[in-house]
Amino acid sequence: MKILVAITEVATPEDAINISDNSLNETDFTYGLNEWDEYAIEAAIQVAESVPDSEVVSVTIAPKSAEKTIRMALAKGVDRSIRIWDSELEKLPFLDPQLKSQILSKIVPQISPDIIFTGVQSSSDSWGSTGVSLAAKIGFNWATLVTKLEISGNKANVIRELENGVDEFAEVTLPAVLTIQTGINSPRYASLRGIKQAQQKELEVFSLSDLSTDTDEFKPRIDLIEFSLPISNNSIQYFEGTPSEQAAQIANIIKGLGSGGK
Amino acid sequence: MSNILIIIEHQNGILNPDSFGLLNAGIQLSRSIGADIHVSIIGQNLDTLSQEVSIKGVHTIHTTPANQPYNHDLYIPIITSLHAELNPIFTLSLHTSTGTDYAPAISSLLDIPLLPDITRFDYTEQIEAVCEMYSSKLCVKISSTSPAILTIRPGSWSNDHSPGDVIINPFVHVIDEKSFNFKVKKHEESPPGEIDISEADLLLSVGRGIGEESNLELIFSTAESIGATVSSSRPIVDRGWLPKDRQVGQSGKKVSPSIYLAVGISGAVQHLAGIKDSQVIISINKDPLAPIFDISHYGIVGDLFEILPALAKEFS
Repeated sequence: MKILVAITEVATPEDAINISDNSLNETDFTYGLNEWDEYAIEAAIQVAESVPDSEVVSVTIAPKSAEKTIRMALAKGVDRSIRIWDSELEKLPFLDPQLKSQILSKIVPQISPDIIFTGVQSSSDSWGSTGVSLAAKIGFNWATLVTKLEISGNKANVIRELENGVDEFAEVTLPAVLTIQTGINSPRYASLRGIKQAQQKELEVFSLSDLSTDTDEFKPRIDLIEFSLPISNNSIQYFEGTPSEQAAQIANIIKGLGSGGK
Repeated sequence: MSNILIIIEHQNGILNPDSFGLLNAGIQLSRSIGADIHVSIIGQNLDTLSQEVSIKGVHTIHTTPANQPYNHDLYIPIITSLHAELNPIFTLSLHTSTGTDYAPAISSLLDIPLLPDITRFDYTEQIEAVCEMYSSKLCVKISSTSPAILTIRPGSWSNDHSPGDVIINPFVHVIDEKSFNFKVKKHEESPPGEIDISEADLLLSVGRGIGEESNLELIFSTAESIGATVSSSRPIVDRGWLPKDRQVGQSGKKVSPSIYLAVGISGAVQHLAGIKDSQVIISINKDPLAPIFDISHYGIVGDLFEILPALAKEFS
């Protein structure tokens, strides 16, 4: 079975975000593998382990600096990796879901996967739209918010997590895009041997012109007007003082409940 | 007259109450543009649902009967053919497990821009919509060409509404179930656990900030001292440290205690959606920018490992 796993490196703000000239400062962020993709990688590897002659290929749209993160995926058991980047993408404030899915749609024919795994969302934007957008573009079926997965023949039996604690049991015909929810499995740690092997594994790099002769199809569909910081809630009252003084103030409120609890 | 198309969300004929906020978002937009609001309802219980969403500001409700629950293979052909007929300048859905399951596909299939997880917008010459990045630490105002499709964050618009005169139009669509490549088998609610956190009056809720599983001991001992029930945010359940019935949030349980004491919870949108009906929210977090402080009444920027033992002492 051929498995493609689309992963992303996310930026996490270290402290306050600074906006200057309507752009963000890279040094305000730390970079790492998207949490949802940790679970997507594990799901991909588990399927590959259960089906003989499987291959797991990861694809990432990211600059060279993301290679450390990609190597971690290789160390966990991804067989080879593809990284797509371009100076045109460098100029954009962010990659919108349609642009991402358009780029990814061009790599799919080169892999011909039976399943494409990706995280439900990325922690940087929580837009949660790339997987479905991609599936519709390439004519794959899809299941989102997958918290349980079983492959049997050309079908995937899944549990999808809906709101309010409701689970949906469903069946989707392959080839399909599956967006993976956190908690579906326990992502493995890379072994020392895996980390060593990862250095030897193939990490292919594509530019946009490698993917299509008409690079106009990689135009963003969302334009940035401005970044701004959220207006904070002024009605909050902060408790100051030593931990004991702060605790005493919480205790006062709880004791005000009357029963001191339920 | 141009049109705006709104896709109503319901679960087996029971209206998702956030649909009114969705309608109000559309109505706001229709006033700026001078457009008619067209609503699509697909599935069962259409008479009741149509009646419920016959509110002031809605022009026409298009009803398409289908004897089954939501499934993207069911919805997408209906929405795209309705889209072809109405040619709406904007199409609006909720940014939920349902909306995010079909809206991005509609955007791909019709090749129109998708504006995701929108919390507010203005329209002058073009749409200017605001969404958030980095766990609500950054607001991003975006625009696109139109027609476009927007997914609206639940709870971002008021659910207030008053009844109105609305045209009901049966929008018949032949459903070819055999062609479905996605089949829903059943829905199940997570089994109730030993403890019903939605009944608790005082919740001590724990998040990622606890660091290690062994630190849960401190949480349970503090909870016992102060008479609280322990609940948690999603990552604690994902790691298997607490069972699912302790999880507060959109996919877990919605809670409404007198006091919600959140420790080490940064406050993802999905979590905040589950606690907003709490009477008093008190938060302890090391990160002064944690979004949980935005909806808290009282806050402590500090170390839960220092404050919780001191809190327990207050009750000894």
